[in-house]
Amino acid sequence: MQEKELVRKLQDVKHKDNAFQHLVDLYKERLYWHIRHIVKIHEDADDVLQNTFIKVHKNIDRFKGESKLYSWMYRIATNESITFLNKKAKKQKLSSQELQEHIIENLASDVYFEGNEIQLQLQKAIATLPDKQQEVFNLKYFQEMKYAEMSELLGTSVGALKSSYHLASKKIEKYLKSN
Amino acid sequence: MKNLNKNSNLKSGFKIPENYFENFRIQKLAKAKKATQHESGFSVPKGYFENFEVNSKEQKESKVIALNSRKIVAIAASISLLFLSYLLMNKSNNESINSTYQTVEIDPVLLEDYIDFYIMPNAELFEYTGSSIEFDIAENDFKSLDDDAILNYFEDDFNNLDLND
Repeated sequence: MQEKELVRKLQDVKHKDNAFQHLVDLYKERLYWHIRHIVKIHEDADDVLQNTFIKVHKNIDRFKGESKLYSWMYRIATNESITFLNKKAKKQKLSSQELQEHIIENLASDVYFEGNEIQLQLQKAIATLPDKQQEVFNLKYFQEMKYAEMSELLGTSVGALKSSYHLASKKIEKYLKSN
Repeated sequence: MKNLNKNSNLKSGFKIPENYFENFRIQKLAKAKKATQHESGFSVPKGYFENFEVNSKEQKESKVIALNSRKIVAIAASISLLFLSYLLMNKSNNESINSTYQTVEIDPVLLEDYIDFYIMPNAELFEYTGSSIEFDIAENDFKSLDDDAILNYFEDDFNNLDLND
């Protein structure tokens, strides 16, 4: 189904439920991994993915087609992830940075993390990056997204994305070497 | 994008429960649909909208208030005003008035959830409709890096990446 057709059905009360199921099947994995790299814990990623799709369902009539549907959902997922982490930090009376450190410290004992010590260190290194650099690094390194696609998704020039990725890689390299 | 999920899994060390995606369902959707119908907390009698009709007779008939009734209302209002003034000026009475209003503590997290869900559910959509997201990368942030050093460091993982895209 073409994206325009899918959007038309999503915005049509008669076809909305079927089209929405199709949308979920189409994008659940991509959105899950995007969210997972932000919140790190599977159960939290599942929660945020649920919330993201609910928000998409609720607001699909507002989607004007000015960007790609995935770009729109990606921004919702990003925002939901950040909101989720902020709320979690507040509940645990921690700063965002402290929460991120706490999550990563506990990754080793997470049943849904099977990374080795280097991968654990890599997560710690990523956590030291500014949010935007984390986002670019996750998209490029883990999700292997092409710069052109990333540029469309984030509304940032390819050149800026490349420099951001290189900068992030350099900082990670430095962190890993010194730790 | 190539082999997104497999590579994400391998590179990050993150894994998911078996058949997670196959069994993934939006569990809260029915609840969310229901919630949007009752956001204010107000409800209406069963069949209210189905049976709703404008009663033109009642609308056309204007309410006639007799002069005597108006006088009674004015006198009652004056008495109420005097009584209220007396209460407000009397300190002990003030305390008793205040004591009738109990302070209800609201859990700030619940309040925030409520605001996010009901009051400002679409606040972030203002951002979503924007055509671009600004990055905090200044042009002069770019420094010439030694790509070989980075590639060597990440070894196999980096060898699979096309840095020039």
